[in-house]
Amino acid sequence: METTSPSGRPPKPSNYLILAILTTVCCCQPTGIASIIYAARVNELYERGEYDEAERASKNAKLWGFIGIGLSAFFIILYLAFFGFAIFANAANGEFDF
Amino acid sequence: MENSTFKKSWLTIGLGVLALLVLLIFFGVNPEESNIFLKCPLYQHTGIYCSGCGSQRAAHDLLHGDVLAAANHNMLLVAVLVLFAQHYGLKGLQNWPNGENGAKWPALQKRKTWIQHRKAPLLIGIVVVVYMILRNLPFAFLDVLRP
Repeated sequence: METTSPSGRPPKPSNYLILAILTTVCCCQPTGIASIIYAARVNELYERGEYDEAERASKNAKLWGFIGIGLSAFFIILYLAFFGFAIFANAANGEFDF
Repeated sequence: MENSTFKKSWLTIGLGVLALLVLLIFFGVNPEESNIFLKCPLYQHTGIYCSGCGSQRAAHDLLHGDVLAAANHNMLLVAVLVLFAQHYGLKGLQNWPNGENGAKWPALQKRKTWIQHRKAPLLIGIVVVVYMILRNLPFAFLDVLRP
């Protein structure tokens, strides 16, 4: 927060919109939407001049985005743990033709 | 400091390799014919299409250059990739030194990408929710939106 721009405003906190979109479309929609909502709040609060609130919304946007990705990663690892062996057995039998 | 950049670069390389592997799998295996892919739990349990439904098939189509089929499976993924391309394209140009002593495009410095626009999160949120609602409504003319 030490670096203020010429207009005297602190730098805008990241709204993690890219993370939010990725989470929504590729992984986990509910937390992705939560992340998008927080991203919208970051912009809104920053425009209104509530910088601390914007900072907090930014942290929440990041948190929900990563929760979605973490959840998906968890399920994928769980899935691979259960069915990974069968998949690799199939691959060894030549079901994959790359 | 040195240690953290070291860790960061390994993280980047690891993620890059992982992403390449995933792309390779999506290129080589068609999700429509194979059952190795994890299906969306929401769809499996309730039959509801969420806004991400069909994105695995769309990824396969896109890697084979078939944009139309990808849009048929998941329009949102294609639109999102356009957004990302514009964002990172413009960012890259802004950081590209083109003048003498490494000056960067002065005309581009003030330009905001679509994603950086103030109303972008709100708009994207609305589009995602409306898209999800539309693909679940039981009308025949909405079949194009369904994966």
